Amino acid sequence: MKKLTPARLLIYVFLCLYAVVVIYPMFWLVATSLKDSWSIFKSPWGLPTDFQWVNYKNAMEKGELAHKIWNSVLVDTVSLLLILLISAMAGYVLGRFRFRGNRPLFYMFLSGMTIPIFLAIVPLFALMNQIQIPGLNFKLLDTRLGLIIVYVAYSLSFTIFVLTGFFRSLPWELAEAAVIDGCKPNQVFWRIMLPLAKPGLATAGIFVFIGLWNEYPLALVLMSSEEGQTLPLGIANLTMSQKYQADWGALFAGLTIGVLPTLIMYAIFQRQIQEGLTAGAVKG
Amino acid sequence: MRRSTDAIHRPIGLMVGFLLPAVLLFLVFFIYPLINVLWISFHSGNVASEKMTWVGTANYTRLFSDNVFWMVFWHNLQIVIIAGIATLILALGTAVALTKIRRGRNFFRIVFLFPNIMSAVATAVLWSFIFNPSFGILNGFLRAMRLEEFTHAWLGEPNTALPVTILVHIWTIAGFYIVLFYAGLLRIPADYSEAARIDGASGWQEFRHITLPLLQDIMQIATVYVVINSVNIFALVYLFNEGRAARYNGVLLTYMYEQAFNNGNYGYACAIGVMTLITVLACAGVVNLFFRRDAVEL
Amino acid sequence: MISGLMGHSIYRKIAAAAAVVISMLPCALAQTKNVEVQAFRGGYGLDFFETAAKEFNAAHPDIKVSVDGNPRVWDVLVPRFAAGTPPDLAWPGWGMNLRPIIMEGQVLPWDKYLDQPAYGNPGKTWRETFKPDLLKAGVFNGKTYTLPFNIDCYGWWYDETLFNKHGWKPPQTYEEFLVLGKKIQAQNIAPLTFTGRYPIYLLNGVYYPWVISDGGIDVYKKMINLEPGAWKHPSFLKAARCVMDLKKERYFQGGCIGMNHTESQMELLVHRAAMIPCGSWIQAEMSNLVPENFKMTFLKTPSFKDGAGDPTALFVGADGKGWTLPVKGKNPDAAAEYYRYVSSPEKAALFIEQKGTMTAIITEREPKLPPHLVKPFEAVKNARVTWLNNVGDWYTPLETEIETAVVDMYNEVITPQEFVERCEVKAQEFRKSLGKDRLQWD
Repeated sequence: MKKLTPARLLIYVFLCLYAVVVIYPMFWLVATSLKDSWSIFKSPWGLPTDFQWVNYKNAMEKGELAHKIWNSVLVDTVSLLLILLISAMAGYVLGRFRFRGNRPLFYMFLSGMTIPIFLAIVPLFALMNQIQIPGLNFKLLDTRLGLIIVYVAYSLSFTIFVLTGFFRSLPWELAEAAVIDGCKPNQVFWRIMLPLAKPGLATAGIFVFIGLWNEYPLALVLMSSEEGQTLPLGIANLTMSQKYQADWGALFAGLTIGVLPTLIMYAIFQRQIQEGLTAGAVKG
Repeated sequence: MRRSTDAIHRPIGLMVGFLLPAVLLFLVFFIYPLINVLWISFHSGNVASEKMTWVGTANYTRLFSDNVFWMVFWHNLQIVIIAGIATLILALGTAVALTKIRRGRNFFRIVFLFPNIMSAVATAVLWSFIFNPSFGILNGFLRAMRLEEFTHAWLGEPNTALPVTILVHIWTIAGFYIVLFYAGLLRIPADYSEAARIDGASGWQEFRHITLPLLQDIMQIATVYVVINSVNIFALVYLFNEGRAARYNGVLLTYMYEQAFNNGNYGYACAIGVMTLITVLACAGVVNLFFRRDAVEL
Repeated sequence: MISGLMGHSIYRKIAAAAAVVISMLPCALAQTKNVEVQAFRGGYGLDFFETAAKEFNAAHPDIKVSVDGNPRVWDVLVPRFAAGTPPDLAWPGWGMNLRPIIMEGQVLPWDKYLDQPAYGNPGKTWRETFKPDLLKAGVFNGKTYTLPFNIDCYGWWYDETLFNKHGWKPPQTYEEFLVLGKKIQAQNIAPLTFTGRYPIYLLNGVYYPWVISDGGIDVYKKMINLEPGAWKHPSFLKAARCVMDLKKERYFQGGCIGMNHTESQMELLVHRAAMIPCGSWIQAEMSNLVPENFKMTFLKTPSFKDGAGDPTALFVGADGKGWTLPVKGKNPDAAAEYYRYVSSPEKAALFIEQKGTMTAIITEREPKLPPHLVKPFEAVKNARVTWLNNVGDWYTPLETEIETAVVDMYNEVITPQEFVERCEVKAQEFRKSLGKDRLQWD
């Protein structure tokens, strides 16, 4: 039925053009990361003639990126695990049980998806500066723990939303049978429902992780000390230094280092990511 | 109702225990700061050192007579309206186009979504090099086409800085809406359009009278999202301007940041934050009203 | 896991707690004083201060100085001052709005340290090792709140090789520049480029020098003292018109309004522009990219032939707002001691040689000058009048207004007339908001 009619050809031309607008900048980014500064400036279009792998070394050293990647992995992984755990528990209760206050709670969490938290950055900053963990003599501001807590709090909305829907769609017969067999409510969740929720957790988790991996504004304000900085801050710093110490090759190498993991994750998990994006918005 | 057994087996302890961490975290680190924005906006002084003094509505009085505030507010509105409409049209068009082809649907979908997944930092830096007046590839392209007079210092000129920012914003977010609309289009049963064909409807009529109405719920969600996305814009503008006070493409949140963390005017910054919140809510409200009215007409 | 999360900070806290406990013990055990330095990471990098810290730590086992920095260090410092957890010593950088922080009493005056003997020279006080004019720039209500280290003079830079090749003479006057510009344009080179995204270069390197050249330094001083009507002096309008005339004649490189530091400086290196207004850090910023036969040479901003101002007038100022001691730093004495070491005359001479710029410190030996510094040194020596951008240093919000106004003018959003009128209004609005906190310079 679908022959290559002129109309369809036109559609292909449009789609290909759009694809070029997306792909070419990426390609240019990687190509430029292998050129030396002088040729970046003299012939920005040209392909690298001799590959300047040293740019990557410079970027890693100047931007201290290894340490920043480690921070990102640490902060984002711990955040992700906490987010999934906390929102699976909350989503289970909200999706499974009817009680007064279920809807209001659900909508409270939902509000987090519509209100950008960055507009409350000043009070958040003040709060992080006030809170001291009892027994430990430090503030949450400027620590990885603080960043993790904020990341968890602001990601909850999305994952609770997705997981509540997911738990609601799970077959209850299994749980009920388990209850009749004498399983405690606690065990029903950990042994039966949580394993069943794996696909939902995966979808929400990958999506959240990529969001955290790229998160910049909150980290900008809440993590000023060098030792705790995450990769987006490291790349941004590299950009800011570039205007005082010209090394464009290293800058583009740094950018590539920042983008590459996302690209790989995306290639592997693109189905889950597309699901995560449309989760809730499109039913069925 | 299949949850009838819940009434008997409702484990109150578990419910409280399971909800508590989420509710506590959310209340303390999300809701409380949000309410506190309003409180701090009636103060002046150092937010962190308890040296705040109540100034009533002084910050708001100053805000309403601050030209820069109205300018960045206007920029945000332009971004919401222009980027919003352009993104929705582009995404809907692309999604419909995707349903019309057979080969490469997946490839295109994956490619189009990628800018969404890329970090805002990388996007901003990458594009600011593309817009570089001297060695940026955009001006290079124009020079190669012998269109020298159309070259600009894109991010440094009043007439181009905001449009260029809007363009990159669209580039960044459009993929999400393509995927959204595409998923919505796949929901529409094929026999609907076949029936329309048999009745002699043109492609446009089919789109207007069958596809669009069936996409209405998605359209509403997409519109709300695009509004939030566009009011929330910060990293792109902040990095496009290398963190400096931006005037030609400055937005509410960059101005708020400048007032708080460069000038130390925390109360004033919170007043800007409150206005941003009101803008988000008002825009979302307008969108919902619009769709409600539309629904009655149908 | 916890230790991983907290990284070093928990160890630091434990160390601090341990230090408190130890200090309470009757027998005085040696305790390490940690000194955290947060500094602006610009074209010179921070390796000089890091090396100095290592040497200092080796000589003082009881003190541990660590130098940390960032190209937008003020984004770090403003919140940390606000949170009451500033570092022990800060070099806040050009973007820092320092005045309100000093007003709040968050900065310790250096004076009690300045009256102590100089490092390695008991015959002199530390104060006497600084050039007095430059020390004055950090004085506020009679107290010295910031100490200068490296200083810069603004002027224009060009490639002497290129000029020699075409037989061009560096223009001494505005009139000569007009003539030379035509010759440069004939070679398909833009006479002047500038760092348009940071309009301070247009102000300090082109506009204010012409205001001072036309009207004299007093006209400028009225402006920095925010006197009513200061901007209405005809010299401000004339200098603005000159900028716009040059723009219409295409003397400025097209598109430079959208360039940052290294981008515009690169235009000079590739000879797409013949001259650029900049400070003496230009060589350091571009060091790995300057071609071998490129001779970076300084030229004082051309002045008007018949201007009322002194033709030797020169911008000479401390880079990055000077070094600052936060009140809430944990070890101010140790921090001051470290800075006393770094700013010793011998270190200053080394800095000149290694980093290729000038310092505010009177060196005891004649440093070996890198070639590009010879002319700036001469210009500083010959300058009968020196000036600073005090508004930029102390009134950050007003500086933002002036900078956005000058960019608006350059982009022809407003006319030169509207530019000076807008600056006048903004200056008076700002003066009103300052109240009694207004500064006075003589």
